Amino acid sequence: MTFDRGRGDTRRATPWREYLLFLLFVAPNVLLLFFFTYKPLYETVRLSFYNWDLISPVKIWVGLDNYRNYFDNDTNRYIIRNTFVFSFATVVGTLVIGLGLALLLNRPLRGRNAARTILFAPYVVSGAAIGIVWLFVFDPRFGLVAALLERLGTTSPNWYNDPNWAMPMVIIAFVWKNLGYAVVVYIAGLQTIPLELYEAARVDGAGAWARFRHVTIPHLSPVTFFLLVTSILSSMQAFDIIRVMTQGGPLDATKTMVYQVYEQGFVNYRVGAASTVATVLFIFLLAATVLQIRFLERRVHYS
Amino acid sequence: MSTLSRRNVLGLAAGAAAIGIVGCGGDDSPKGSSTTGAGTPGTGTGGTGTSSASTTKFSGVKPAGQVTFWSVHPANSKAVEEELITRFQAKYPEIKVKLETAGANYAEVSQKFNAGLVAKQIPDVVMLSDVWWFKYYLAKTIAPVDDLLKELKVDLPDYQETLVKDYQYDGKQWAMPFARSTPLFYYNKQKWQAAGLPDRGPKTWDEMDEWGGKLQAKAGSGEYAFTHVKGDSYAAWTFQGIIWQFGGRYSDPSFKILLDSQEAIDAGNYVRSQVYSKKYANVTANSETADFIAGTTASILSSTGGLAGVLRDAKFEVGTAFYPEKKQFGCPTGGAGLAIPDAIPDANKVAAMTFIKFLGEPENTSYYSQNVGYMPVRKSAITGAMAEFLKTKPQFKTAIEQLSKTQSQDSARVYIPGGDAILGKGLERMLLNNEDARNVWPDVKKELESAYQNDVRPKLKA
Amino acid sequence: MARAVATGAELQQPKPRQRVAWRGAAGAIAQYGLMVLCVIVIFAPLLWMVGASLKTRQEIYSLPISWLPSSLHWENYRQAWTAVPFERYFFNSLVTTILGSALKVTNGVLTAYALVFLRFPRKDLVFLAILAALMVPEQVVLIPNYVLVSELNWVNTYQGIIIPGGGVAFGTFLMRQHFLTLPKEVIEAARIDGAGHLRMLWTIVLPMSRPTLITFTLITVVAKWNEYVWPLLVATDDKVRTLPLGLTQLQNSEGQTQWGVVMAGAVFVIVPILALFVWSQRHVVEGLTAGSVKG
Repeated sequence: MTFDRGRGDTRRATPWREYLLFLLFVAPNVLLLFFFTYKPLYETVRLSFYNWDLISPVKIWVGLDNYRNYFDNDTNRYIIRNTFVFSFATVVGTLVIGLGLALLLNRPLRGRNAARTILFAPYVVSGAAIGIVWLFVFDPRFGLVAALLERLGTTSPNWYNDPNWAMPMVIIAFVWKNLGYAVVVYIAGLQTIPLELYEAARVDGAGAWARFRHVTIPHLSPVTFFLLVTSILSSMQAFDIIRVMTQGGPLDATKTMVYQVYEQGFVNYRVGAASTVATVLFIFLLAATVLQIRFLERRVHYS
Repeated sequence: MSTLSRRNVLGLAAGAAAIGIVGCGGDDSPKGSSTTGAGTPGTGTGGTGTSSASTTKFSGVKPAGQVTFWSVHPANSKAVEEELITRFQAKYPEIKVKLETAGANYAEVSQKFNAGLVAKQIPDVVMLSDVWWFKYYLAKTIAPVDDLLKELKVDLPDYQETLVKDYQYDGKQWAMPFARSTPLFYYNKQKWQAAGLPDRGPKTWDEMDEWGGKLQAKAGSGEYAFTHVKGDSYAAWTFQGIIWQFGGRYSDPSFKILLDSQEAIDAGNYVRSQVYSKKYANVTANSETADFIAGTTASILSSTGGLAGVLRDAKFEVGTAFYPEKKQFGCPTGGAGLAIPDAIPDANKVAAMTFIKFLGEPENTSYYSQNVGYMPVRKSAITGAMAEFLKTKPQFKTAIEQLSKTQSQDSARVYIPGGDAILGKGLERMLLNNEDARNVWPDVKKELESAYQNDVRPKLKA
Repeated sequence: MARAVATGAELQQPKPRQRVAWRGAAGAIAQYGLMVLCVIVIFAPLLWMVGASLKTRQEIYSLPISWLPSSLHWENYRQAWTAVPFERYFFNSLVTTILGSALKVTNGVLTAYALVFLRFPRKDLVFLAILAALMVPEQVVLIPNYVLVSELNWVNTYQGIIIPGGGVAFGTFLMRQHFLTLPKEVIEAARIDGAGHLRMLWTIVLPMSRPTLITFTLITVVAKWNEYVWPLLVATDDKVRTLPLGLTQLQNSEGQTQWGVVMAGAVFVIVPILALFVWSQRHVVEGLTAGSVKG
């Protein structure tokens, strides 16, 4: 058949030219990922078995010492704890407030699109800039929060210096930055819920709370799970806000594992210790990512 | 037993200095310094040294055409540094100085220098503070400057001895003093008067406690009689004076950590009591000098380096005084010096030292001192170029008088890389968290010892 | 697999039947009140920033606090602009954002095109290998990357900032998913006409993928513009420092004693990206929330 011949031919013979073109198109990306993502990942794990200061020509092999020191240290345990506290508080805060705002902004209110835009705006702004703005908002004497508390007849806690208040400060700033994202995702989720379900529930005599509890919540669970995983990942990688606002202080109260990687590596130049933290952090993050992938698989089943 | 003792080493160094290094006298110095330096005791004794043309490895090396200078412009001194560079260019048009901001504080310039060593992007002159230069001595990345001093006939005897000695180790000179300071007691005369106090600083900490109560009685909400610095702003530096006054110390010269002594515990619990039981002191949220200028605190212990800025910005009369005493007086020196990286070519080293020498000349160090607040590094500056100024600004005079009563810092703070931060964190636990020094110091001691074992001992042996 | 459903068009459609959910004028007022309150709370820090940037130092540092500037004090902006070289930071941000985004978008598009339209044995494995990079956050690989960039003598250069981030996994995924939805007939027709692959990509595939391409570009631009930790390590002086780092420089030099100036600097950093966002919010929102809800 003359019509099919051209295509048939290319299919049978190995299309070397196309293979070559494929490689040409894919190579820059794959090489960059190899040299700046995969290879350094291996290097990080490898360096966690050495002591090195980045300058010396020799790296000293110490086996598992870095890990032993890492886990046998109160400060490190405190930092792991901080990482989880920060992560937990920001994730819960973002999701709960985000859902509340999404429910509100899903109502047919005039100006709600403008409201959504404003809500989402902080998400696209540089964390460094947001950190600085919030640092001023929390200035214990001349900040917005201090002024508001003064109005309420109380004085501001010392957000900068008090180890008990510094963590809430960075958590609030981080939630504020990421809230809009959760709102928009939740609104998208809300709009996938078939309205017939609400009608049916109403016919059955379910009140507002019951409808929320038995219709909205279950239908939002895939979206919630997605947000949960992405928020955990992003909160465990938070750096710019912490660096700008507290540098991990006071008394390590806001120091998280990511910050510790930076500090050990590029402030103290303890490469082995830094790589150890990075490796442990990677394992935590990998666990969260695996959850995400399994979730995506499950969602494919749903539809 | 020949355990390493810093005192011994310093003794050796001083000896060496007397014989060899200081082989340059007033008569050899260039016009600029000899005119103002003439007749001072420093130059006089220096002149007796062997100033004959002993050659160094830098003999005949032509200085490079450019010097890159990494500075942190301590105490907002960028404009003053720029003016000094302008003056340098007028005198040495063939050596171009490039001033680069290498960070916001001493820790950052050190980080940047370290990173630069990795990336092989290093300056010719780097500003390293009291607590950082030794790390680069250990890493063998800064050059000993003895030969350069000799080659360029730097008038070493006219330098303040305590300030020069701070950079001596292993019989060699590793940096030269530049932005050097001591802690100084600043007080707000207006508030002092309102509380009915005499116009002077408290003689002792007991007197401070008494005065603190009076000042606090007059203070508004959120205001304090005294404010402590933050851990990362060298709390371990100002506290070092206090621990000495209480008869303790951080460590001895051979790195034995002495924080478990009763004196150390008393000193720690004393500053804690100022905040938590006597309630007249707090810890600054950002900068103690900013609080002082804003009038939210009546007194602070802060570097002389900020003096010019405080006098300029404060809307009230400022008094300065020595540290209060306890069992005895104690006051450390501090601030930063200028070092030359080892890896740069000889021509750059010569150019770098030419610049460092220029900065140290009496009229220049005096200009720097008057406009920023750091100590003039030259003896002749005080009697010469600064004499008039000191008459009109008694606050500076206090600072300079205190200098003669200072001593070198404890090894745990200045020789253990990160030691200052470890001590500062311990102090924050007492000052911010109200933890008993009895529980805090043992942790600090452990951490300092482990840092010494990991970062210092192996390198000293090598 | 997943694609965003929350397009702007859909967001704008009210759901009429939900209106009965909350009844009465009181309910409506409460809802409006709540919405306005939320907007104010969310917007307050930014208003506070702009307000402070226009206050005199006296106004900022006196109690009780003045909520609004008494007059527009533009001096802070001038001071911020001169305290640190902001025009240099702007230029550097533009260079790293434009070149960095161009590199990433080109990589993403070419890779996705190859994965969809070119034949290659086991290209599903190639795709997986690229996708797996999503699991490696950059903070984990900072140190070896810094060492490598040092060895290449790329510290404090544009290439040092740009190239290590040039590989792209998420964007490849985004483009690939879109290319898979393109009608096969059009592609086939072009092939029979003898169009080369580059021409096909340029004249047929990309024009048909405009919304996704714009989304991909915008999220890349936003991420590049805001990038912090890597430039912080690689940019060692003002020669290549970008805006977020420049703002940190300003914070360091002016500290907490000059909030007005620092806030003016923050305005410099925030305004361009907010303008871009307002101008293109549909695409940005869509891109940044891609993958959340199945479309």
